[in-house]
Amino acid sequence: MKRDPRRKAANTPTKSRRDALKNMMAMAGAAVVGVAAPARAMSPGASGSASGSVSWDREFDVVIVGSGFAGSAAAIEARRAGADVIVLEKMPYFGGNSAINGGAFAVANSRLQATLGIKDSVDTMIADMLKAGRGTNHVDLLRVICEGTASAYEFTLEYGVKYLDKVLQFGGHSVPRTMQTRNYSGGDIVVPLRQGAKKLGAFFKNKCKLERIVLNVQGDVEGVAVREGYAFPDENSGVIRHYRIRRGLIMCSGGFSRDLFYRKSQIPTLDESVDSTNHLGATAEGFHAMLAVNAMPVNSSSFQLGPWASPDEGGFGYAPQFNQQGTFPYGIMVDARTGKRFVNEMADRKTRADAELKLRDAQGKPVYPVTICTTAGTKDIPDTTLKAALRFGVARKYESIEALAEHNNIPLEPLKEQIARYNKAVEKGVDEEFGKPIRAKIFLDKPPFLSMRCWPKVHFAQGGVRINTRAEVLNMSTGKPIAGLFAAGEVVGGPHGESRLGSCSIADCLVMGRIAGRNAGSRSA
Amino acid sequence: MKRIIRYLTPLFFLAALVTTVSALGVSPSAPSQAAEESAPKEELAYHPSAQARLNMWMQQKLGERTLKKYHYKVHQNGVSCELCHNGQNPTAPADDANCIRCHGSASDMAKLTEERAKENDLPNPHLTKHFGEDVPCTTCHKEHKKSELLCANCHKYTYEKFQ
Repeated sequence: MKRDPRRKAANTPTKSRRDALKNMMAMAGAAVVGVAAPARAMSPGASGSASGSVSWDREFDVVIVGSGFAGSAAAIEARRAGADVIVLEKMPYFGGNSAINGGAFAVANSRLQATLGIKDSVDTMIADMLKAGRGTNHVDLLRVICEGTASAYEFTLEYGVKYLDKVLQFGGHSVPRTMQTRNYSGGDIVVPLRQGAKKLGAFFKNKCKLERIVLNVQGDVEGVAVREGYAFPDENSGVIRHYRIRRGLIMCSGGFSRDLFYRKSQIPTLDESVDSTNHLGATAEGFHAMLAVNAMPVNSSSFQLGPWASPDEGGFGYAPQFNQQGTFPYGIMVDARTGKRFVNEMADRKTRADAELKLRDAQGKPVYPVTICTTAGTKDIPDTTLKAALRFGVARKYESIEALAEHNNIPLEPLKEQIARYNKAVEKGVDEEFGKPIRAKIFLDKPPFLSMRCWPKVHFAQGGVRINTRAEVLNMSTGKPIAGLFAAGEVVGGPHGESRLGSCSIADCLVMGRIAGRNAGSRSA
Repeated sequence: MKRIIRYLTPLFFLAALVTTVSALGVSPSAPSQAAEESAPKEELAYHPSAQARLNMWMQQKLGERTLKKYHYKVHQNGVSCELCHNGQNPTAPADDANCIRCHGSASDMAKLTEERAKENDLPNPHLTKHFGEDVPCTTCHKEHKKSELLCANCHKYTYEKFQ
């Protein structure tokens, strides 16, 4: 990575002025295009800018937008296919939402499942995901994803990702198939993948935001306009540059759960009062850029809410793990007004979140439900999470059920009756009230009791662009791929239908990211 | 002052034109040069009157900028923007490479805070399970306004000595 000193010297004194000149030229160019565009023979319906008068600052084989699971996996595969690759990240830090996710990865037919004697198959995983998605999933994509999980798992091992030696069973999955990274974080995957991609020669550029996709006159992707030196969220920061693309643009720009304008436009009730588990950069401009070049949107108003989140902390926090691995499988969730359970705590996310969102008082204000378990029920919660949740008051510990009821304003007698009913169900191994699978004989009997207040947070954007099984983005007017445009990960709509199962997003991102990287990297220029 | 600037402006344009022409001969960078965008680090020729003029211009253009106390002394009481901003353009964002020159690399920082984080039973802020060592300094450490901990977007803890 040595730089030529002569080149540096030549660039040095003029840099900003050169930029200014270039920008002026680009602006003039844009004006010309604006006038001429209607007369141009553009591809059907395409409204993206044509490249006629763009002066290109740089040239790459493959440009990847986003540095999460999908972007990192795509970078590796595109490099392996022999392309030179740049990964653009608009935030100062890399990894996007993948970095703060919980590191749970659903794999059908993993080595560990075989060792532990767990019977699983691609078809079982598809059936589980279809059931959660209310049958509205795009099955072609679903099949490709489920089939790819086992090899994607091996792929992560190859780059040094470390998992626990057990297989977890998340809500909605019919068998244990979820691999969990050592530190319970997506950073455990995305950091080694980034290092691996860098070692292979891919470049990662932060603070660089995609502005728009530039098409040529045939309507194929010719390049991108980006904002270098972008300082999130200042939309006027940085300078506009144009990168020409020889082989393919891969959009791994992620979901848009943090995009309030977008979210509220689709579903007005998902306003400021509903928090999100996502990082602040989870906004929709990548999706918009594809719509502007006529990409087909799918399920664009479908958001998943995480039923395990807590109003007592920001973002993702500790609550998801505390509830998913503690109170939901080994405890109960009750309506604080009645002391009664109201949903199968292990149902899929949509069922649970919808049930929780109904708990409102006469003024429509949320009445936070309360999850309860004993210390025996916390055995699967990672120590660090449990400790931190208690330390920062997200979860609480009580010496008696009376203290718990009093602190959370739950009527004591109904709560005690509910606990008795639940303990009977655990004894029997069958939950007749709500049909929750009883996995272990863990009773709600001995103090101390632990509890947490819950309220759903916007977690995942199920909508996005339509792609085919080669990860090519489809044109809304023709139904054919937009040449040179690929997409993978959360910005794609379809595979998860109406409700994504937990731990299936990493599967989706890694599998489709790899496919997009391979296809874009080997595309003939 | 304004008159001087007006007087100098055509000269600047002329210089810009000449240098632009000479620079245009350089082709767009190959990818190996592309990703590493750290700007030039040439020494600026120092002249007292030039510095005075620059200071005046900055007062007008930028107004008073706040500065972290611990940077007062080493950074010449905060008049030397180029120490962080690369001298290329006072409004260009600060470059991490300049922090590293005094404070050490990301790994050095991680080692520095490891012990204290452990004592307080908190994650090491410079080596996290989410981002490794890859978070740029200026994500959390702000010079001209209150620093903001990236972790605090989700987590409730803070670091006592964080500035």
